[in-house]
Amino acid sequence: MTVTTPTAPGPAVTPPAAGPPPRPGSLRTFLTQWGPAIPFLVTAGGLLVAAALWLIRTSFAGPDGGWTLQAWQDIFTQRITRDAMVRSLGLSAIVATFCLVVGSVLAYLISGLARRGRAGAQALLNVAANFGGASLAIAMVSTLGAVGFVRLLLENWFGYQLGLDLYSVWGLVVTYIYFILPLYVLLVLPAMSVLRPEWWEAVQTAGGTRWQYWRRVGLPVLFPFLLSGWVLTFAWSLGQFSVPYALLGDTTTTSLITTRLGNFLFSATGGTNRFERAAALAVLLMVISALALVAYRRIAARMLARLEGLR
Amino acid sequence: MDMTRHQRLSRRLVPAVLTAIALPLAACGGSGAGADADAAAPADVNAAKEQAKQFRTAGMPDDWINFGEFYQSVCDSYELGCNGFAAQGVNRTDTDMSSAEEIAAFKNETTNAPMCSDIGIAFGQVAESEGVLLGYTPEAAAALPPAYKAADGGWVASAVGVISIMTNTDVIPNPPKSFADLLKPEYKGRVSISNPVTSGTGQATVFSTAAALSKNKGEFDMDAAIDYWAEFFRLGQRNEAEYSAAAFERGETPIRVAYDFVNIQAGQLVGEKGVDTAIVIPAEGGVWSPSATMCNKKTEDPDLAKLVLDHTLSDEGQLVFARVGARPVRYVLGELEVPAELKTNWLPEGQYANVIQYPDDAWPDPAVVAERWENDVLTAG
Repeated sequence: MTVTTPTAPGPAVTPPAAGPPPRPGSLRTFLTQWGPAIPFLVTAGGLLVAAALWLIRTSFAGPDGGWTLQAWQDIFTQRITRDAMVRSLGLSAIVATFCLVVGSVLAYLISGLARRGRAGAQALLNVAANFGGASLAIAMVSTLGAVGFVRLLLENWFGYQLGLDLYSVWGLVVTYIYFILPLYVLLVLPAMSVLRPEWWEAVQTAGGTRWQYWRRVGLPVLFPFLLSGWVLTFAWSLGQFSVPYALLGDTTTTSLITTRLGNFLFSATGGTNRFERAAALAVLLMVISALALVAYRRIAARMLARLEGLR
Repeated sequence: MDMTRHQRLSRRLVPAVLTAIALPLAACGGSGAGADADAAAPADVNAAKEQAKQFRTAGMPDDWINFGEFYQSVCDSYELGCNGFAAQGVNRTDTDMSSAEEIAAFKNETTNAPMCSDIGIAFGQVAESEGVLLGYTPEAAAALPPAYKAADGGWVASAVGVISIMTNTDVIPNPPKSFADLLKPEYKGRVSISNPVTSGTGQATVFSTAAALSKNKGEFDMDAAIDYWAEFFRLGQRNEAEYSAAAFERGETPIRVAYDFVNIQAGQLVGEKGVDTAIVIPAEGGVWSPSATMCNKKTEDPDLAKLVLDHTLSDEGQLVFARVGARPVRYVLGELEVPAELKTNWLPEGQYANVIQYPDDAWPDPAVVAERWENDVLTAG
């Protein structure tokens, strides 16, 4: 994770009236200017920067405090950890892509609602987006689990055998989408107001069709906004721990980067480098998040430029 | 009223915060030599009385081998005037952790570190090599074999369990009776086990098969165990859902492999709700798998910790474990009679005919078990 420190204020400007004693004055200005930032700097420095540096150092730590690549080598050579990486990335990509396709349409439809409908939809989305963690896992087990009531209802009333195995990757996809899709919609909803009704009228005047409007005007304008939503949803899915842990427990073979990390931590005893491997996985997650953030900022810069152009 | 509570809180909070800041500083300057020197000496009961006013344990919930009653029995036997039930939170507080986490807590926590913990027996040697143990051996430990106690004090076996199979017979009318049965197609995706990488129960599960499936009776064959579990995962027998008594009751996890005393308690719990269960020791047998109580070198309550270790092996303390179906370690070694009325919950003695005592001096290293599980078993699935 990157930390943005507030830009340093310019050189202290001593008011001319203060005149002769410059020393205490400049100290006071320094304090008044930097004072309010101290809690933030301490928190960010201690909780993020120092912790991140310590994690990076730990991931390279050898048995007697030296430097080694062993932990990194181990996480990439151990098959189930490598599988977990592929599974995590795949799962996040599937979830983010589903959100991109379905969520964008949903967001467009919601943006077209009347004010009251929009407020109601947003409230609902907010509730669903916050319904994550262990409680969601429990809800999923009691609805779609082996003896979940939705599954049983479908069987008893309609004779339909629900094929979904909740404890597989696809079960995770469904569970993630339940709370990440609303989040995606909330993220891209503001962008929908960028589309102006005049443009559709203009396309019609020029004899264009709906399809051409979306292909040439709508999607190109929206694309960076949707893409940034994809990147954030991807990173968000990748970092989930409590949902898969509560759903699958810690004996699972459907492991993800985060649950492998947890597993290494819960079993880290002396004489092994399991703790260092946990640190390496944490650093790996940090790197992926940082890359996602960089991508997001690049796209955001382009979005802003585009908005400027639209004015 | 609110006001007084608030005042009381802050009166306690301020010194607590100050101590929290000061203690690590003091620890840097001081030396631990004094504590080590008298670690082997017998407990001072008067000091223990003071220490029993507020103490902390880890991984010793009231219902795990009856630790609530056990601690109450410590309080009563030595007339410490304390309350042993963590759920009531009067004198004892407990944080549930895995064995590895407990050792880490012993190692890393300095202020109000946990006094004693319950660990899977194989973690004893890990705690020893990490050097986190209180160097105290109760006198009664002399009768224990080497695999049941620390070489230089600090942990002793407490009560012994054997891995058993519990089945919700409302969901599965024909319950499995052996490890071989668990591989049958009819139980595919139904069998719930603990994780040998993190939990003592999971390790005991692997150890059980190592004893039960060895070619020569009485031996301990880890390769046979790993092969069996690899096959188990390859066939997809494992139930993916997270086990809980509630999940078992609903039939989400209809077959559970765990310690006999844990399954007996869970079976009673769901039995009261009208769910029928069957609990068996696998026909191939298993290994007596003790839980162990270990105590912390850095505890602020060393005298109480020594009393806990003493009481763990005393007749009275041992019989407390028996009450919930855990076999006291001294009973398994043939040194203690358990009255028949305490055995009413126990599974029939005949089922244990093939259960062996661990033949070697040191249990397999948990780290080695973890790596083999991850690299040879999980990859088979």
